Amino acid sequence: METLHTRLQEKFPNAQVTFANLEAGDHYIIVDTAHLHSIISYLKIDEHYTILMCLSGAEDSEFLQSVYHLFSESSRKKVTLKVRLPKDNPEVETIGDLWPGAYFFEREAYDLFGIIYKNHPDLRRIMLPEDWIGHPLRKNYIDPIQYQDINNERAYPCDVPNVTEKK
Amino acid sequence: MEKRDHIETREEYRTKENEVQEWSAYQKLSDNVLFTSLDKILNLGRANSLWYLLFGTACCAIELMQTGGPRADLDRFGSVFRPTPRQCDLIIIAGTVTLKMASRIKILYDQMPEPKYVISMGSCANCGGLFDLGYSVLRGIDKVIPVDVYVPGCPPRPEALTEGLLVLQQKVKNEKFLVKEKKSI
Repeated sequence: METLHTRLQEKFPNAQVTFANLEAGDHYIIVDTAHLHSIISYLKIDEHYTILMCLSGAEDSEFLQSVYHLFSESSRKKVTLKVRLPKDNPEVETIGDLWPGAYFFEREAYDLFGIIYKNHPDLRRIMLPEDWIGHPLRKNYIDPIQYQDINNERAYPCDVPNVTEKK
Repeated sequence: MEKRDHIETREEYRTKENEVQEWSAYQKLSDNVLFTSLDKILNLGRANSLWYLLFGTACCAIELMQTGGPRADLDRFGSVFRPTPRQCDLIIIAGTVTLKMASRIKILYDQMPEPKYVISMGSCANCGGLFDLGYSVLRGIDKVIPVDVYVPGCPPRPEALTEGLLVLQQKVKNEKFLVKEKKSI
């Protein structure tokens, strides 16, 4: 993947492309938000990473992330790309024009993390009901006690910290 | 042959002068007529034909299928599944209920004709169970519809659900059908 990283740096001199070498787990490449679409398009067409295995969202202490897992059938290699997005305005270009199936992954990431995918034709919630408030996998999300006319308060107090009960 | 014997004995009774008329009538009718109260006979029919809705929300539904299957065989208690709520007397809430599903279940319950009963099957339907801490999980189906029988277990075995049905049958048999009390949520 390091050679791929140097190739990307040569191909996109303006983009910030950093390589994260981990002691354990998959290595990944952190990509500039503005150049994400062109880089993934380059990876698909020129580097033959033809399969989008997974598109997911994540959140760490500072950023929201949109994570792309690509796989190449010809070279049998995987690559993981990450985009770091600010929490107050998480916007990134959609890659649904490269893989139409990505539209559904992006709807899920929007549903649970609130990441906005620009140029997505139908960006709405995919699993939660449409009148749901908030994005549940965000760290600062507070579980609702009332939903529509259902009072969902538990009958007995719960001792587990950091979950629900705080209004 | 037996019938002829029976008539002969009846005629013997008639010949006796001091025989009470009612006793004679009882002898005539004993093979075919059952004396009971109206509530009991109505409840007997209702308790032994509790048709349940073919509906499950999670893994408890697998056990529900097993209970309907040949080994546990819910059919022998007159309980068979129906695919539409309009033909059902009973809805078995089998599995985790999410908040999104809760309003749908309310609609299904409203579509069932009275009198209708609810069995809450498994920990999730009883109180949220394993997924109690989830943001989208309803903490007990009794927050949405009234429940008659709670079956504990995660999931309950088919024997447990059968027991739940028998308990419900007992409840139905003890009801005064002609003066039904209103259920409250």
